[in-house]
Parts: sequence; structure tokens; C-alpha cells
Amino acid sequence: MPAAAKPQSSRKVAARSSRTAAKPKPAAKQVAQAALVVGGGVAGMQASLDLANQGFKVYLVEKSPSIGGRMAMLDKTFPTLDCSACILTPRLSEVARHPNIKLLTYTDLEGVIGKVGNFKVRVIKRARYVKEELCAGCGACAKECPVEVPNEFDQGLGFRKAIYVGFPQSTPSTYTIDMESCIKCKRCERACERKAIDLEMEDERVEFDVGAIIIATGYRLFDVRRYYRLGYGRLPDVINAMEYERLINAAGPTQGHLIRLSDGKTPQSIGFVQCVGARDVNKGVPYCSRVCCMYGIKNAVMAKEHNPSTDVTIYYADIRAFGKGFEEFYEMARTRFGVKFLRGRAAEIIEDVRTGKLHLRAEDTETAQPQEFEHDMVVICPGIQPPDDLDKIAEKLGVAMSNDGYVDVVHRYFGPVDTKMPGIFVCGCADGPKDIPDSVTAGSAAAMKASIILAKGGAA
Amino acid sequence: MKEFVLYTGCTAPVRLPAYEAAVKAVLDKMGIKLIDMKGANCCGAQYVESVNRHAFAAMSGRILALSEKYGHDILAICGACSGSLKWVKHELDEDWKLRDEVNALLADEGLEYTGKTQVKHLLQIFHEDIGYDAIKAAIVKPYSGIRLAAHYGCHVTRPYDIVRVDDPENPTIIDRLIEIAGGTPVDYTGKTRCCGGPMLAMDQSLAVKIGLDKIRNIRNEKADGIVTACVFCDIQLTQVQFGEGVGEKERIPVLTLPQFLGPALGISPAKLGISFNKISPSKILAGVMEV
Amino acid sequence: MSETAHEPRNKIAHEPKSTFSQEIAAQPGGEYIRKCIQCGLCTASCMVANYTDKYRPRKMVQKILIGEREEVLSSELPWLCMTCRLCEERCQEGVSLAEIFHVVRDIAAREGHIPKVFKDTVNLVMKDGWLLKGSYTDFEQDDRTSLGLDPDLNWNEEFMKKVKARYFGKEPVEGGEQE
Repeated sequence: MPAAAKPQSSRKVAARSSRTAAKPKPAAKQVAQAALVVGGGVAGMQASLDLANQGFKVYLVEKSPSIGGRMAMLDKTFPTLDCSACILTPRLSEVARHPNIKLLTYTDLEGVIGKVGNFKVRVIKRARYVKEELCAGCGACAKECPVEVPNEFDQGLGFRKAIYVGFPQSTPSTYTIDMESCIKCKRCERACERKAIDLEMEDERVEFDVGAIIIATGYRLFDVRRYYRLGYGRLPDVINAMEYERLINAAGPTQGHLIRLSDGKTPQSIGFVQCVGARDVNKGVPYCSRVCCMYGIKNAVMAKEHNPSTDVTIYYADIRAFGKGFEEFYEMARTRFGVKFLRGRAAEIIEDVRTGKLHLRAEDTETAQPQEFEHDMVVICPGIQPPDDLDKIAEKLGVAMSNDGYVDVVHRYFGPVDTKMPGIFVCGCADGPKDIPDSVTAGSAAAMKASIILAKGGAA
Repeated sequence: MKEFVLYTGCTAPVRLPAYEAAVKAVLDKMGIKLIDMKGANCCGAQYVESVNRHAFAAMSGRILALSEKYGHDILAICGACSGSLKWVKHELDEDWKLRDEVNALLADEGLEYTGKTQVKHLLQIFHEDIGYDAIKAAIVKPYSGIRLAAHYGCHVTRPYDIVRVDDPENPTIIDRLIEIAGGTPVDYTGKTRCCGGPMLAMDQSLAVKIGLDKIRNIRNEKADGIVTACVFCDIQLTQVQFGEGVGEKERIPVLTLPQFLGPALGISPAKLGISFNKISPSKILAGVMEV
Repeated sequence: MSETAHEPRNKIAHEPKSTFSQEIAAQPGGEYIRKCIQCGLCTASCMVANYTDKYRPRKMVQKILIGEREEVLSSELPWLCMTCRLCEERCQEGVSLAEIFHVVRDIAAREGHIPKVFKDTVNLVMKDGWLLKGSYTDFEQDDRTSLGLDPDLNWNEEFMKKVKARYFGKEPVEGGEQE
């Protein structure tokens, strides 16, 4: 079986990727039998498991304190309405337990030099101020901590302590101290029976050699504050889809009770707004974000499940239900759950100060009537974007980016997980919006490509 | 000292001379020199603009060429004029054939548009040429406890790519100036909506309905007054309050921006034409001057 | 729609009636009209649409796209747009509606469809060089003087005659009565 198609770019590019010039090749042309996976979301975890199960060593680097990524934040997935955490958490354990996977969480990529088969990677393990080998994740420290700050995992809707885990199934279960919020009262130190707290801990530089690298950095939501007319950021009852996920999640800040952020009341009428931060030439995102129609429908179904008497409407221009089971899911949302679909993009969201309700202006294009629709809550379903630091990571790796900020691939059809840098692969949302099944598939594909290098000693 | 040639448009000198006077008084105080453009013509906004695009380009093009003759950039105080001039400038800069066509018409007057001149609206003068700091330093009698709603006007702020004055969905220049002068700027529903003025030609009652939508939204926020930066908007928002549905006591005073800033800068009401405002702003100005 | 032995009662047109959309797209400002996906964001934002039953900018674009040339050109609806451009600012596909309606008006005027008020105003400005000569009386002059402003407005009337001759022929603007 021929090796992977040779990527176009020249070797010179590999040497450019770091401060020092490329060193002369080591005498023994031994391909390092390990791989680096950047990003511990569902795609990165899949890639790591597939490589590890073949016997290769995997360094899984994740910038946040826990692996799990976005999928850990979701409540249910489409189109099956599986509980996201229920299907994900066994994998978190599998990854953590795997003898071939070295989990480096709360770690940033600092630099990479070398070339395919022989990359020298340097990462910074940021100080958690808690010793990983001693912490049992019992939480006694957090109980004592007097500082409460917004929890990033809950999109800022709930709180965590300065010493925290983002969510109960955080993997590793080691606690982390957010030193910016910590007041150094040392109550956690006194509470910890295993003496795991070390407030003098420093960042640690770790270096290792790998033969192949996989980028699996995931996505962030489009910042909907850029749409002033939709009121996100000004009107408390206008929320985005990830905040919605946390609110309906039983492990979330409100224990799964969907409430209005303004007054805590249960919304009786909810509007979902599609195509925000996607299919918009004015905001530099002309492309379709692929997943928002389906996750919007899924969210609408969840609202009905939580409270069948809620009036739920989705405001859309097109419904793109392209995948297996998607059209049936759309149909089920309409017929079985009674979600209303209004064909008309939402123009403006206004607050009626007297009633505290939101008014959404849209034209019902099927009747040609522009109207104001009243809702208690509006959920904006943003398009998904490359993460903020993807361009820096790409620069460190010498990997080409496309115009829209995603990692560029060698060939759309025959090299969809190959970046233009030999030995570096990409999966998940780092090269474009994808849902969970496609991200996992890409993770396996990238692992396969990486293992060809590791097994055969470099690119053919 | 910055100099601009002032293009008033057809309407301001006749229907809102107080605005022209107030602009001159305030800009003079803030160190901007204005030269009246003599021998100008109508910019062609709305009417000729709709009926023949090339004639429209010729009309606004002549004003651009005139300002080149004066050797200064243009200050347009009317929203419709500033929109027209900027639009035509954009077209003439991009389309050489059109530019040649227009210049051919201007040739025997010795006028030519070469692209040198820039067009600014009054808001840009305050924001870019004078600056908030200078205005702040010049305030001598700040307002206190006055709530004011800013109305920017459609042609002032849109299309953003061409006019580049302020954020089209969330403009803030007038609000900042209100704040600097000691007032409380008030946000209201539909802040960026049209005043309805352009509809007066085709359907007056519809124009009034649209204007009253704005007045209602402003009244909901309990504003003491409205501050405008366009001739038509000012006239329209004043006039709609004289129809049915608005009692005399309910009328909200409408002030042009320089009429609002002037008293805080220590300029006397006579120079600002305050007595010309159809709805008396005396309550607003009570704290800052003897009216 | 089932096929029967005789013709279906309503013939469904599968192509635009004319190349009107291409005609509009060929003019500056009309370029992106064919990007419209009929999402209704424009109409939802439009103050005129929100206060009338007859005016729907999305529907007008639709009519242009399906080639209803005569209907659009002879209608008063394109003249109702206030050019406030809120629709343009918000359209996610980059369709410039106010500009498209300007192009429609331009073509309509050339073919003799122009509302009376537009015709009259254009004729007035051609004649006087500016719009309010007839309204500028002694009262307004006195007002200006009392404000310290020059009562002599210095409008140039000659240039408009050149514009008229070049673009509108010797006669004042002709046009059918609208409405």
C-alpha cells in the first residue's frame, strides 16, 4: 500500500518553524515513535486512542485543565439526543488510563523544530499549584476556598472557586489554582490531607521528540456581540447557544432548570436565531457553519422536552439537515415536539422595558408579514470559528492557513487531514466546522496518517 | 487653523437658518474656519438622484469641483447632502468615464474634479478635527440632570463603507458629546431608524407615522429633548409633533447639535437661533443660560 | 401538481419572464441582486414595510429576479424606498437594496414612469438651480439677517440648464402620472 501522497511544500518550510536553524540530521535516522496531539477535545482524544492502541506513544497536550473539550459542555447531541457527557466520559477515563498516552493538561505549545519523523517539541506545563501525583480530586480544598469567580466552563454563568475543577468529571481530576484570583489565604493548603498544594510551583518546560503531530484545537463560537442589533451582551435574556447548553444541563449552574437570566423565571416563549456569524459577508464569514441548523433544532427540541407548553420558534433562512437522520430529526421536531419554524431571518431584538419581554422583528416570508414576535428568551445560534490562538499554533508548526482562518489542507478530497507541512495532520474543527461524528472520523483519519509515518519511518 | 468650505444645501438656509448660524458660532469658537461656498447648486439628493444617475453625479460633482477651486475640503451640515456628496465622490473616484463626462460639463466654468477634495459631515468635524478633549476643555457651563436622545440620521451614518462617520448600528458621537456637555445620553428602541422625512414626498401620512414611531420610542425613555445632526431630520421630528396624537404639553424639543453644545460652551442663545426652534427648548437650557 | 390529459390549469413558469435581473445587475449598485436568498431580513428592518401593507422590499427584489419587468417599472413601490439603508447594512448576502431601487427608478424614469412629485421637483431644480427659490421670501431673508447670516444665498442657476440640456433634453421631465 503506497504511503500517503507527498505534500507539496518543500522541506525548507519545516526548518522555518522555529527560532533556531535546522540542526544537521542525527546520524541514526530513527523516527521518533511518538506523536503529539494538540487539543484534548473529542477529535484529539480519538486520534490519541487510535495511535496509542497501535502501540505508539502519544503526548496529548491540552491548554485547559481538563480534556473533553466542547462536547463535555453540551447537554445532548444531535440527532440521537444522547446525553453528551454520558457518552464522552468513558472516553475521558480511557484516555487518562491508557499506558501509551501521556496527558499534558494545562499545557501550552511553546515551539517545534525539526521535520517529519523527527520533531522536537517544547511545551510549557503551566503551574497548577497542585501536585498532580498527590491530588485525589476530593474537593476538600475547594470547600475551604473563600474566593468565587465566574466559571469559564459554565460560560461565566456559574461560579467556581479560585481552586477548582471546571466540571465534575474533569480529567485529570487534579484541582487547579487560578493564581490571578487566589488571595493566598492558604486555607486550601491546610485543608488538603494529602499535602498536594504547592503554592511555590513554577511553570515547567517539557521537551520531547515526536515523529508526527496532529492539530485538534477545536472551535470557539462567533462573538455575537458584534451584532449590536441582536442585543446580546446588553439584554440579559438574549443568550448564546453554549450558554443555553449550560443552562439546560443537569450538571450546569442552574441544575438543568432553564431560566431567564434577568429574573430567574421559566421562559414560556423562546426564539432561536440562526445564521448569526455564518453566511454573512459583512462580518467576513460568508461560509455556512454546517452545524448550527442541526444544533439549533436540537436545542429547540430540548426546550420542548423541558417544558412542553413552552412556545418555541426557530427563525431561519434555510434549514440544512444534510446528514444521516437529520431530515427525520427536523421532521420530528416539527411534528412530534411542535417546534415552530418561521422562515425569516431575525433583524432586531428589542426589550420592552415595561413587560421585561423581548420583541424579535422578523418577516414571515411565507405570508410576507413583517412582525414583532414576543419571547421571554432568545437564543442566538452562532456559527463556529477557529479558536483565537490557532494562528499562533499554526505559525509555530509552520502550517499554512486558509483565508478564513482555518488550517489549510493539502487536498480537499484525497488529503483532507493532511496539512501542507509533512508530518503534521489536522482533524476536528481546526480545518473547518464539523459535527461530532465527522470530528471523530477525522481524528481516526489523522491518527492513521500519523501512524503511517511512525510505522514506516518518515514520509515516503 | 483648519479650514473648510461650508456647503449648506438647499434647505438649511431657508428652513433651518438657526442650524447654519449655530454651526458657524460653535465651530468658530472651536477654532475651525468656515468659508461660505458661493455659486453652488443643489446636490441632487433624492429627486434627481432617483431620476438620472449621471445628472446626479454632475450636480454633486460640481460642488466637489467648486471646493477644489476653493482649495479646501467640504463640510456638509445636512445629512442628505453629505451622503450625496460622499456617494458621488466615491463614484467619480472609481469610474473614470463618469468623471470625464462630469468634468466635460464643468470645463467652461474652469472647474474640474480631480479627487483631491474630501467631504465631511459635521459629526466628523467634532470627532476627528476638533476632538473630544478640546471640546471638554472648552465647556464652561455644563448641563445637569438633562436626558437627551441622539438621532443621527440615515444618510449621515450609512452606507458605512462610503460615509465612514460612526458605527451604523451603534453610533456614539452625539451621545459622547451630550455626555461631555454634562447631559445624560439616553438609549432608545430604534435609535438607527429613519425619521421618515424622505417619505414626505410620496405619502405624507406614512411619513408622519414613521416619525411618530421614533418620537414614541424616545418618549418611552423619558427624554427631555432630541439632538439631531441633519436638517431634514430636525424639521421632520419637529413637524410630526404638530400633528394629531401629540398634545402641546407632550412635545419633545428638538435641538440641532451645535444649538445643544453652544450654551455649554458659553455662546449666547441669540447667536444660536434658539428662538427659532418651533418647540421651545427652554426647559433644557434653563440651567445653562438665561433664556 | 398532477399531469392530466389536458393542460394543467396554472402554468408554472420555471424561468424568469425576462432578463430584468441581469439588466439590474449590469448597473453600478445592482451587482449583487442575484445573491438574494429571500430571507426577509431587509423587510423586517424596513420602516416602510412595518407601516404599510403594500411595500415589501424582499418581494420587489423577488419580482425583479423572476423577471417581472413591466410590473416593477410601472409600479410606485420602488419610489417608496426612503434610502435609509438599514436593509443594506444588515443584508448578510451583500445585496444593496436602496441602490437596486435607484437603478430601477433610473430605468423607470427613462421609460416614462415617474411619480408626479419627483417629476415636479426635478423640473423645479432644473429651472432654479436649487429647490427652495419659491419659498425664500422676505421673511426668511429677515430671519437670516437677524442671525447674522448673509441674506444673499448665491445659488448658481446656469449650471442646471447645462445639466438639463445634457440629460433631459430641451423639455422639462416627461413622465406618466403615478398613482
